[in-house]
Amino acid sequence: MELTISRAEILALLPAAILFFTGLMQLFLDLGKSSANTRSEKTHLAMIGVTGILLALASLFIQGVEPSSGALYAGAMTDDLFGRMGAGVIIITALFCSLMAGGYLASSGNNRAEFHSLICFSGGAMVLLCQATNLISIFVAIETLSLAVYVLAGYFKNHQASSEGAFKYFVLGAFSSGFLLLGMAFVYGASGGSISLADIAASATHDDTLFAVGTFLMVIGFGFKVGAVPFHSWVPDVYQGAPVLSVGWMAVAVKSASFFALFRFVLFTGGGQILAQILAAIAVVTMLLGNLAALNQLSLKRMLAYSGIAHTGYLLIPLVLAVSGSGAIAGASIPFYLISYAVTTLAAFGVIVAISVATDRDDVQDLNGLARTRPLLALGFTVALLSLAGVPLTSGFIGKLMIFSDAIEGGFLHLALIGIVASLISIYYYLRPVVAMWFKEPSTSFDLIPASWGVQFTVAVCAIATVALGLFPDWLVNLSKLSVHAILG
Amino acid sequence: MDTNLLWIVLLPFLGFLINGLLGRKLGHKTVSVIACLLPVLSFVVSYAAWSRLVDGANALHWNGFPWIWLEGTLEVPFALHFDGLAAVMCLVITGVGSVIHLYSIGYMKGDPGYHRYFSYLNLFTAFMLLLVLADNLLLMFIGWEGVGLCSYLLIGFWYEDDANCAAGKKAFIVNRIGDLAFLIGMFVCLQHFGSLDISMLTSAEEITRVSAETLTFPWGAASVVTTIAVLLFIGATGKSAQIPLFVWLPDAMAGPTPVSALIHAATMVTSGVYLCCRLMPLFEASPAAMGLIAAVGACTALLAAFIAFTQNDIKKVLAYSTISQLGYMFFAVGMGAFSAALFHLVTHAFFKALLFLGSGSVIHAMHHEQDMRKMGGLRNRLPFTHITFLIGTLAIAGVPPLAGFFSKDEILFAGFQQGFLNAVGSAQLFWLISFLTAGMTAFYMIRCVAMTFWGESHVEESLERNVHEPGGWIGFALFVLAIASALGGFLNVPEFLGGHASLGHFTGLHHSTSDLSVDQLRSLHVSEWQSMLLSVLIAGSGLMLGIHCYGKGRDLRTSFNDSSAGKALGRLSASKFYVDEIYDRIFVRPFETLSHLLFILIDRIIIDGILVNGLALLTRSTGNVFRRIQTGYIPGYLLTFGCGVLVLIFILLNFLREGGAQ
Amino acid sequence: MIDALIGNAASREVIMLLAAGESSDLLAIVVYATLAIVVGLGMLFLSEVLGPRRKDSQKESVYECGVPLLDSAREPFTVKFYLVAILFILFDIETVFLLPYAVVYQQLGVIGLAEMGIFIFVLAGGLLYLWKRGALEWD
Repeated sequence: MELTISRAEILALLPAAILFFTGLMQLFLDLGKSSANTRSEKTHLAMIGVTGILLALASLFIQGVEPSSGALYAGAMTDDLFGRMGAGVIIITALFCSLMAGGYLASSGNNRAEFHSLICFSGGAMVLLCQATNLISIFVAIETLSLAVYVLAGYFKNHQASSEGAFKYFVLGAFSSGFLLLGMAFVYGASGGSISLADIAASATHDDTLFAVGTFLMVIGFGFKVGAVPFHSWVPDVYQGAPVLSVGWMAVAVKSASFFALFRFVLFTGGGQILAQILAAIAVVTMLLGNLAALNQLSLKRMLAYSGIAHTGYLLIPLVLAVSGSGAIAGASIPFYLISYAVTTLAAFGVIVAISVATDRDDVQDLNGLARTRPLLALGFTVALLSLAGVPLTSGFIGKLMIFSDAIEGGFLHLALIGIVASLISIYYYLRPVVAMWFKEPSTSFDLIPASWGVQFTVAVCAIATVALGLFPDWLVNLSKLSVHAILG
Repeated sequence: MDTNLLWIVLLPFLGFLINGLLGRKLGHKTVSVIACLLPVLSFVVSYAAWSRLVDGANALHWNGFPWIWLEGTLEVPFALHFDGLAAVMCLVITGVGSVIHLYSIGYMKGDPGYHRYFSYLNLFTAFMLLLVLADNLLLMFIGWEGVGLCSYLLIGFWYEDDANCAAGKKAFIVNRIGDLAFLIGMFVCLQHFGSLDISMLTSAEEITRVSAETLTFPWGAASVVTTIAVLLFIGATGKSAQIPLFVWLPDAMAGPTPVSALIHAATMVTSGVYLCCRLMPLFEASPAAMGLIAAVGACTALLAAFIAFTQNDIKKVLAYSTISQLGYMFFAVGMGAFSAALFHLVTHAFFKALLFLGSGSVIHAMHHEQDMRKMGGLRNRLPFTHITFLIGTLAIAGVPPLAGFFSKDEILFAGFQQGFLNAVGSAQLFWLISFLTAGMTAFYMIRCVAMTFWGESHVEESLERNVHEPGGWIGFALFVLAIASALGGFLNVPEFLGGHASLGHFTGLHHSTSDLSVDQLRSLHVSEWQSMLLSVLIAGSGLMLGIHCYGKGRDLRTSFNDSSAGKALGRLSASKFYVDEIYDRIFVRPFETLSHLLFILIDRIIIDGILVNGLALLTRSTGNVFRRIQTGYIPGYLLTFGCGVLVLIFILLNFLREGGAQ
Repeated sequence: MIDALIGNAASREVIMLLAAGESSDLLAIVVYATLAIVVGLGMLFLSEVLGPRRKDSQKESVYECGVPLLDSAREPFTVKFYLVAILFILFDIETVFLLPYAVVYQQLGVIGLAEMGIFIFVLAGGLLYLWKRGALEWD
């Protein structure tokens, strides 16, 4: 058997490959340097990172919205629009994280190449995860990204909370990987020994217990990554302990990539009504628990952790639809919601990065009077929070609207109703920082929060994108629809 | 297609935007210039449009743009229509409005809310013009609500005083009742006419078509046209302060006096009359509604005039007088004399604005003293105000040849014609009421003049020395309006006096007399002469009686006041017929009780108790549960994870088995 | 191979049985398991009860190849041991990939060689990184 490699295969692999290579470059370039200059911004690292990421983005964009070239690498991956959109979200997130990294790491005295290259490594793995179309490549990608993210979570190895969070994340992550692997094995068995998603979809019957259990175990494995209840317990601790930037990266990129892969899986295979009902129950519990638990949180990171859980809950609704076989209905909402969530969350984390650089804390009260000291940051954060709460004129509103209307159309009225109630609850805690920023007196401890231009750029671009998507969602909605329908065929 | 029409509305709105947004930064001078210039410009544009109509152009129309557009079911354009009726209204609004804007420069000098005041006033002008120019009911309703809003804002302009805020709220709420009827009326229109376009609602064939339809109510059937007319009229009673919704207008005097002049006398309160004129064919198609309107108008006129007898607040007298005069207008509408109603609307705008501005001048000079018992003898100190006020009084009393004489005479003749020439029984009674009211009007107005300007001074010593004639714009405004009040009647000199009833013809509201034979015309003219003589007579006797009572000797009044009947009547009048109290008992109190009950039930128990506190408790307790789960210990987490998986898989298998068994 | 590992048919059967709640076939397993546990525990219990007990300090102490005890045995190892162990396993497992490649390198051709080259490059990069970061130095 002679190995051949086609142009499409190289092109498809290019974004991930460039990211991996960029990571290696950063690692090597920083090797000779002593740790004496850790407080400097080391702009060359960020420059290489940004250049590499931009190259990856370019290599993604030259593929455009061309139809997929079919199964690549013997069915291990594909280059369809869905995967490209996922890869796009991740690469853009990586870009913003790299932009913010220099200033953030320098202020904490821990500025080494590892952070930058870990972002690239995990980013590359996530890109692969979005494109993976067989069980093995999914697993390899998810493990690669997990290992990198464990380290990112514990990046501040001298902070007890950071190390503790990373350790918890690692142990529980390994545990969940076990479920994922077991589920894959079941699915493999139930489908008569095929690892490719297309083959599994062709041979799977939803009444098959083995297949249902296998699918469910796989969903659990992913559910851990995205923080679905009851597999969410790591989220608050890790979010609170880990460096803010890692948390932002986890909240946006890990969640997006996992959801993209999970959606691809269930869109391909379905899962039957019973599994859909159980996932619906998980969605309900996740939405309610996430929002209710967030109500009393005073730490911004912890609040956003629970808010992230809640958003996982909302995203489980289209998953339920996809599992129940109505994926076509939920088509547009999946990529759209993930992209909207990504830009919104990045804007929010940009501000938290600025706050934590300035005060080394992240309480709501640290935001007091931000509107007076840093009106633009406050505005960006406000936009982000309103979008997370789903207030009209923001992308979050459109996303939620689509998800809830999809749920109603797909016959899951109760999910939509509970989702709406949950979103109403969420407004309370999303508005608390807004009130603090605009209506409270600034605390005397700091006059001006320094914000690197990377942070400002991120917050500005993401906030504008949030509003822009809220005002002109059409093109992205259509693109999302196109991508999902390409999978469904 | 005439885009200029848009500018009529847009110019004052521009003034509102500039003064509202930037007014704080601009100086008083700039604010005044902007605020006054733009309505004047709007007047100029209206005048230009009007002159095109005079030159024989058809009604101007601006097609605008589709506004609410549900194909086939509800198609409402944002379009403006400028015909004779709208032209007259526009000229009155922008003309009198501009004068009052100018007056306000003097009156509001030094007020901290100067720019706020002018921005509201401009906004009001814009909305009022929109109301007048709208080519469909919905757009008119925007203006209708908008002027209501401005009225509310301006009544409570000095919001530091609770009473002013309460008055504003009262005006707003009472108006809302009428607006509800207006809305329902619009719904019925939409249901049966399928459109809200005024051209549609007034087209003869549409009305013939719809008048065949009836609606069934629990208390019986009513024709659709009557239902619409009555509902819209109820809307009009709110805005135009008629029975039963007139109670807000006297309280509305809490606002600055120019506001009372512009909004609560000259323009906004007449919009109900305008609505009737606008939809003349619709109202004419329903005799029942016309009868109701005439009855309400006549009764309101009498009631308000009676209350005005004993009021001691100079603005309250004028307020009740306004209600009374509006009653006249509705009486005219009810008699089918739309032209007369509009004519009276115009002349009333002149002389009532004049009277209000005159009273404003007095109040300004007296440092916001409004009680007439503390005035008197001001003739010497405020000679110019006195003269102009007197002109206004004679005009409203109906003394020839001042403005009010012609218009009121026309209305009284309309009643006379209906009642005695056409021998409609109820109209005879209404005519009698209006006729008496004409005398009463003369009486209370001359009382007002006498108490304020004549006789001996009751002004406090310290104040009296400072009382002086306000000059500048205030004087100018009084002058302009005095001229208008004196000469305004010649706009519509009736044919029997050698005129051409030009206003009536121009607006298309006048019923043509050309189909009458010469004999009929002559007999008609004879009765018009009779009616006119009667009305001059009653006005004259009212004036005489008033002068007699309040001018010199006070014996007659004293002896009447001392008689038991006089006391009872006096008390009844002074208490304003207890209408406020009755409403308080019948509507306000039960509502308060109900709302208090609901407050306790829904707010305290359900929302506060169960929803808010209950939710908070639930949240807090779930939070505690979470905290217990969220221990931070990995074994605990693994336990949750594992248990979760086990439970879920158990459920999954259970369901799968059931599914398989079926 | 994976088939055998998972025991596809067998596992499906067990789950099906669990799902169906049919006890007849499981009963044998349950009885067997119970017996095994009972026998095991019983042995322990018996030896505990019946066995003779003569304690002295020598017997109680930890056995250290006949040498007298110096210190408590319950001391943590230094983390460097773990580091070396992890590195060893990492490189060990990754080099294991070279073995199957050696078997089929002719079939895979140039592209296979390139892929393996990249693999080794990454591996070497990792080693270089460890070296430079000082992970290989004991102190």
